[in-house]
Amino acid sequence: MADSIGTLYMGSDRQPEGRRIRAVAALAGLKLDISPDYVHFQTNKTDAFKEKFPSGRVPCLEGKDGLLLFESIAITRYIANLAPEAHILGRTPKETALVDQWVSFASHEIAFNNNQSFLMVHHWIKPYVKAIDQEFRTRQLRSLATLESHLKSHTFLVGERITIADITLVSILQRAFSVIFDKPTREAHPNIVRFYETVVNQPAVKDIFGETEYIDKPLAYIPPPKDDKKA
Amino acid sequence: MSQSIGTLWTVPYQLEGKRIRALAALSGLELDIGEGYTHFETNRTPEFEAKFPSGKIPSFEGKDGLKLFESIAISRYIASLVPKAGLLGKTPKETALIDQWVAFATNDIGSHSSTVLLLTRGYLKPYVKALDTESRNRLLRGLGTIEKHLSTRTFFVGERITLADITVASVLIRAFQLIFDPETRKSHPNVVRFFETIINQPKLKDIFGEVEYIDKQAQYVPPKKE
Repeated sequence: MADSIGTLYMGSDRQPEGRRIRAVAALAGLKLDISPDYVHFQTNKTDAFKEKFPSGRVPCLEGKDGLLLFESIAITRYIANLAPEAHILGRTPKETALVDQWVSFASHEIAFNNNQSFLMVHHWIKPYVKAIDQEFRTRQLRSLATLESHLKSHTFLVGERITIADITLVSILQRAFSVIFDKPTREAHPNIVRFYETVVNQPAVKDIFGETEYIDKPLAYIPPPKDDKKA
Repeated sequence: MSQSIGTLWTVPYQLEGKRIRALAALSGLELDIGEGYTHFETNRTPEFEAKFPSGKIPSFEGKDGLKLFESIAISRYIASLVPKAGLLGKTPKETALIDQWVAFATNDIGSHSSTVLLLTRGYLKPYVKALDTESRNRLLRGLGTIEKHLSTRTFFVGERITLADITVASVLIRAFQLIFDPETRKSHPNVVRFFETIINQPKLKDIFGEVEYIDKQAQYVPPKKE
C-alpha cells in the first residue's frame, strides 16, 4: 500500500492549480491526501495557517516529511522530482529547461491574461472596463497563436511524452475554454484543441479534470443587479 | 577563445535580463549579450521568431544549440549549470522552497508592479484609478509577506544567496521605482535591508546598477489635451 506523500490544501475542486497538482501526482504514481477541513477565506485567514503558509493562499502542500510549500509551480516540480523514473520533468537538463519554459509561458502569457478577464467579468476586480478586458483578451490570443504554431508539429510540448508542462497548460486551458474559446476560436486553433483533448483524456488524469464546458460565445460581462442595497 | 555559455538577447534596462546576468556572474559563467538588438524590430524578424517563437526577450541561445525563452526558465537553467555555486539549494527541499519564492516574487509582486507601471505610464488604457489602487494594495500585501519572512533571515532559503534572492531583488527594483516612498521604506525595513545587501554584492553591483530612492509614489499624469 502506497503511503501518501502529504496533504494538499485546496480551494474549490475547480481551481486549475489544484487540478494541476493532483494530475501531476497521479502521473508520478504518488498518493496525495486532500485536506477535508479546509474552508477557503476562513481557514487561510487563521494565524495557524499563515504560520505554515505565509502567503495565505492555496493550493499548498504539507509534506509527510515536514516540508511546507506554496505556489503550484513549486509543488508540481517537487512532486515530479519525487518520481524521477516517471520522467515528467523531461529526461535531460535541456528538456527540463524547455518544460520550465512552457510552464512559465502558460502561466504568465495565458493564465495571467485569462484570469484578469475572468476576474473582471465575475466582479472580483472592479470596475469592469471593457477596453482593459479586451486588451487582456488580445494579449492572450497572441500567446495562443504561439502555442498553436508549436503544437502544429508537436504532440506534447516537450519531447515525445507527457510532462508537467502539458498538465499545467491543460489546467490553464480548461479555464480559458470557459472564457475566450468560443466556437470560432476553437476552429482557429485546432492543434490546441487536439492537444487539450489528448491530454485531458489520459486515463490517469481524466477524472481529475472532469468535464470541459465548450462555450458558444466568449464570456461576457453582466452588470450586477442595481437593487443590491440591502439593509 | 570565448568560454561563453551562449548569447542572451535582452536590453540593458530589462530587469529579467539583469537577473540572468547576475546568476551567470555568481556561477562564474561567461554570458554574451546579443549585439545589435533593437526591441520591436529585431524580435519581429522571421529569423528571431524562428528561434524564439514567443518573439519576446529575454531569450537565450546556448553554445550547444539550446534555445530558450521565459526568464524563469533561463534563470533556472543557468542556476543549474554550476551546482557548487549553490544557487538551487543544497537539498531537494531547499530547491522546492527556492522555486516557491521565485514563483511568489513573479506572481505576487512582479505582476502587480507591472500593472501599476503599465497603468501609470499609459501603456494599458484607459487609466482606471481603482485598478491602479487595487494593484498597489496587492503589491503591498506581497511585500508584507516577504517583510515578515525576511525579519528572521538574511537570505530567502538557507544560509547563502540563491536563485530566490536574485529573483526577488530583480523584481523589487521595479517596486522601488514605483512604490517605495519614504513611508513604505520605513514600514518594510527588512525588505530594504535585503534589497541593499543583494544589489551591492561585489559581483552584482555593476549589473544591478544604482537604484534611486523615490520621494513620492509614481502617479498617473494624464496626457495634455491639445
